[in-house]
Amino acid sequence: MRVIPFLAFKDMKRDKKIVVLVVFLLAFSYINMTFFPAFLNGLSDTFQSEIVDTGTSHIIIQPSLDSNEQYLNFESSIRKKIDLIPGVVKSSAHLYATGTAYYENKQSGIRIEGTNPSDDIEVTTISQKLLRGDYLSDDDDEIVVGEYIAGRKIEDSIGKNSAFGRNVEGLGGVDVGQKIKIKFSNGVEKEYKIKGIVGSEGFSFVSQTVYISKREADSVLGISDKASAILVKLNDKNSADKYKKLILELGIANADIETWQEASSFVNGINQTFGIVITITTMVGIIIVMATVGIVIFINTTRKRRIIGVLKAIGMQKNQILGVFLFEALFFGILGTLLGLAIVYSIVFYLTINPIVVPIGYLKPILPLETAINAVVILLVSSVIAGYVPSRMASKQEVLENIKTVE
Amino acid sequence: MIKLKNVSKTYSMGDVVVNALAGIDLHVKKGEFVSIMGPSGSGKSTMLHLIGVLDKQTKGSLIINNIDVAKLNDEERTTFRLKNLGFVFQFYSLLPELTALENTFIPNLLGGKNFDQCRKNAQVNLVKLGLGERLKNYPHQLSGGEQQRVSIARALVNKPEILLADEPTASLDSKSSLNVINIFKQLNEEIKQTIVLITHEEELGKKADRGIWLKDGVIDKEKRF
Repeated sequence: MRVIPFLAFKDMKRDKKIVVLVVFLLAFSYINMTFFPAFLNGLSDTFQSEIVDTGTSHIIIQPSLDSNEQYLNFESSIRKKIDLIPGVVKSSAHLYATGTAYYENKQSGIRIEGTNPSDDIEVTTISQKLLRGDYLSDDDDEIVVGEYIAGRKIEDSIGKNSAFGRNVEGLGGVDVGQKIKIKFSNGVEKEYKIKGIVGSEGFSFVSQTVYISKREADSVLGISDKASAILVKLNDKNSADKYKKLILELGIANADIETWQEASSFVNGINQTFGIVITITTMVGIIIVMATVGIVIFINTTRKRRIIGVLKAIGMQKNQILGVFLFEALFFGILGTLLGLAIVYSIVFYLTINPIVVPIGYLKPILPLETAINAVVILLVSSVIAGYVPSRMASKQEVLENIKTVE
Repeated sequence: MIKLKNVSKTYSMGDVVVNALAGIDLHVKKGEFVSIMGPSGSGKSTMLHLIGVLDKQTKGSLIINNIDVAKLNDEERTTFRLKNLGFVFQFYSLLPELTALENTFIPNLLGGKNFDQCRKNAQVNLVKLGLGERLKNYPHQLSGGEQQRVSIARALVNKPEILLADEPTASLDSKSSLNVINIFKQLNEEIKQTIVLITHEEELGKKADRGIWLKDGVIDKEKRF
């Protein structure tokens, strides 16, 4: 069977330019099939990390929608029980409110979150997002303000708008030490001194929130030992399902318990939506591969009809003829895949070190091995299938038909 | 060696039936050099395609080397050609991407020989045919006569029982044509190579031991030279 690779390589060596063109087209198809999913993975990872790190932690317990309760009652005793479960790092109670912030002639609608910083520092990364000043303490009367609310400089790398297009002029650039007035949705009005500014680039809940101590939130809202949500941090976030069951066994009244995957499931929805686009781009990739390889092999077999006939006449079997052209198709696929892999991983490596700054944050493409391997398999199989049809046609032609082609 | 008994070949072209060969009886002995001549449409190429196991007769029997080739399946026919027959075609029968040496050793390679053996055998044959200086030349770098000599070298590399040549001089000038036919003559005389030559040039055909003239699918006359 050594005649198959021998003839295939000789044929490709003669048509080097065609080989280079086909390989580049196949590499392009590989990039087409892998880079967009890698980009999307990076996007959803950015989204999901932000949600988990600052919004839900690994498990979030909230009042059940059916109960019409606004708060979870007896949050301190619930958290004590949860904190005793082995594998739980810590739980943290959060109180959510809304209101309007005022500074001089500017005002901004805000969401307000009350936490116990001493607990929360182990559960969320909010305190790590401090840009200026200091973070809250448990008994603070001061507040920490998200940078979009405080107002950001125009020359900011992200630009003027936040994730959802809201103007980030906010309160016009208030800063640490200045005082702003907050009118809560229950009508309470109070002036607070800004202790710190928090925020992160791009899509960020933190940048759009005012943080106060839970003691202060209790006082303003006129409640005690209640929470809008209890966030639970685990040693192993991949065991969230198991811990959800353990927490369910505690029998917390009127509560919905969600793992981080469930709470951020809308990201999966986004992924599924983009999945359709990925399917289309993959299909386009397959069409490019099949058309390129199929046409090149077809032209090659048509051009060589007489020589194929001569080879058959002198003793070359049909399956050997088929083998030569399939070998070429597979070789195109292998070279195209290798080049595609090299280019895609180079781009991914570069963008991991130098992420792209887009309106929703820093984007680092993530290319799962499974996606890379799937694309390799798709490309190779498509190449061979595309090559098979014209190769089979050529191998099945009668010897005399071939020989008489030019005669 | 080659026995055709009452061999007929008919083609259907729509409603028209063409009798390319009609009841041919022929016996070519081992070591014989036979030329088959005749005008266009006389059936000489059809006869070579049958003897070359490239086509099947409609009627009659064709025995080559005591094998009834009509009973062979497609794969067996290909193997039979590889092991027993050597072909020299009219023109353009060399692979353009292969050198003279590589073109010559293809039948050896198909027969399962390793590259060293293949190169050695091919080189011996090409040198014998006066192409020792042209081993690494590609077909486009060779003259028509040289290309045909490479074809002959290729046809002989597997040491076939029968050498079949289908108008091998049709696209050559008279000097090259004579050269090619002299090679056949020499092969026949020196190694007793059985040769069946199809040609429409009687002067060249007369170099064979025996000439057979076909006309309208039947043997018109036969003559020993």
